[in-house]
Amino acid sequence: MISLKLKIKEKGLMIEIPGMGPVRSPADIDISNIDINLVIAVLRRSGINNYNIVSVTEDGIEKTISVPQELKKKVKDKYPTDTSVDKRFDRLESMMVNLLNRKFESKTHLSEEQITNKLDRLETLTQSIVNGQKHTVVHTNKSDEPVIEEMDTMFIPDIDLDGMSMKGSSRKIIEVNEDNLDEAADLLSSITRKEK
Amino acid sequence: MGNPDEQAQAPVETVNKEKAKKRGAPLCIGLDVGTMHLACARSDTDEVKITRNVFMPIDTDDVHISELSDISYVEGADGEVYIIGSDAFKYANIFGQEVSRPMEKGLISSKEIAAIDVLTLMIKDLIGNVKGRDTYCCYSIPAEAIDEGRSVTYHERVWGSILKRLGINYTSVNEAMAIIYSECAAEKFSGIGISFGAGMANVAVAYKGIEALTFSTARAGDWIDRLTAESVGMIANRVTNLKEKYMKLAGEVKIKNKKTRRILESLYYHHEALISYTVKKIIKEFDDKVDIEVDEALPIIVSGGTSMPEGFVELFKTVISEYELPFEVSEIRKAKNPLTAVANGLLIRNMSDVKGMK
Repeated sequence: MISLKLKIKEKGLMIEIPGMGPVRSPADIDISNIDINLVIAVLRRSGINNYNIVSVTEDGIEKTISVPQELKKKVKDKYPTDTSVDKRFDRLESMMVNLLNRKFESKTHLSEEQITNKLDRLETLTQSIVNGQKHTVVHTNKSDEPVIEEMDTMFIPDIDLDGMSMKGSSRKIIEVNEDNLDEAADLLSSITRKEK
Repeated sequence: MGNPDEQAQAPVETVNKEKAKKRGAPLCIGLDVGTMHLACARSDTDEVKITRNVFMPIDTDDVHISELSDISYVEGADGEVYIIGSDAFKYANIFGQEVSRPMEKGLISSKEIAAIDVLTLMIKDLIGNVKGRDTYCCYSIPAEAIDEGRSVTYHERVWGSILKRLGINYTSVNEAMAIIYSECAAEKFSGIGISFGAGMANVAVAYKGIEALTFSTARAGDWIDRLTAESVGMIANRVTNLKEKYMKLAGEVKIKNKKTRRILESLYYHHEALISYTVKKIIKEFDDKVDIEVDEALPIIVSGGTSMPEGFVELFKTVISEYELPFEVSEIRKAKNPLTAVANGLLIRNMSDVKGMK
């Protein structure tokens, strides 16, 4: 039997594929039982492009499955785009992930067929948006500074305090500062300024 | 001895008048984000506040909420209840359970991602009221560990997002550098700061306030507790509890119970092994990475919760004397308060930065 593995070498990324616990890269994840489209959608939403999906035979022979670049690639913010198209695209992407998610978890009143039909329609819509989207590349002044790739913040979980409350206080006061921290801060300012 | 819960009961004067006058000025905060403790120092008060960085989910079928009147807890949107801080630690010990730890080996734990919301409320409570104030916070981050491949980036970003959610301006500062800021003003911020925490040992070498070398190892208090627990066959919480109550690394231990004595003996060996491991790594990292010629002897400041037991610094001195060091040491001393040194150092650095902004 052939199994499928997702390999991410880049360190420090958080991947949350529905049906699995959160995993931090670098990671080799067995995705044999998960819809590959769902995996690709989750990776794309998380801004992860640098990954391989590998098929592994029973004899342990690995073969990399090529994922079309247009599926892998997330539109970079560096290129100004029509924001309304972007928003629609993002919304559709979220809807697709949600539907795939439901399909995987089977926690829905919609039948398999209804979900598949909806997904097909969304795929067609998405494709039409992708085809119609035009990018204008803005050439900025060249600089000697290395280009720093901004990390996508999407993998940082949202903090949701709605409906949460705290009773009592766990904090304890354990000392009174005797030192004059103000003086120490002034001294630090003057020393570090001199050293610079 | 080293139990912060006992220290917490010391009588405390509330707010320094001089500082109260400065309430109109930007509010500076030093936030020590430790695996076992969270500590917060503010520029408008002399108090340093501390809580245990642990929580314990409880089953509301077993415990009714009215039974928690004296307990600090967080209630979730769906009715889930988490006992937090020192109370969680006490409860877990009573029921023989392990507490949930939002952090592991010095970094946000991948196992407890759901805990970030609970942690945000704990931090909000710890920091206190900042409403309407221009607030700046320096929070501690460890250096990359040399003996483990985990990245600090995720941890740093999550803490940034927690502070952002609370409406606070933030910047991260190396934990061991904070010890230098707190303890080495007399040496013009030159020295070697070592923070023996719960999850990590962090080391910084600084010369006149400038960082020359920082690194961390993933061996610290939890490593001691885990190996001791394995060697005596009990849960790590209990070992931590006994360590904080009875551990002495010098002098006679007057404990009659044979099992407790055996645990303390095992703890002693593992403290010694931890110090030896850290010293070897300091020598190696200094040899490999420090290019500058330091022509003056540097003080070594030992801090962190794991350095709390009586005799820790003496044991450190004994172990380090067995090695030839690539730098001269003027003295080895303990931080004035190993549990609050990092928070105070972060506050000093923050106040210095904010003054520089004017």
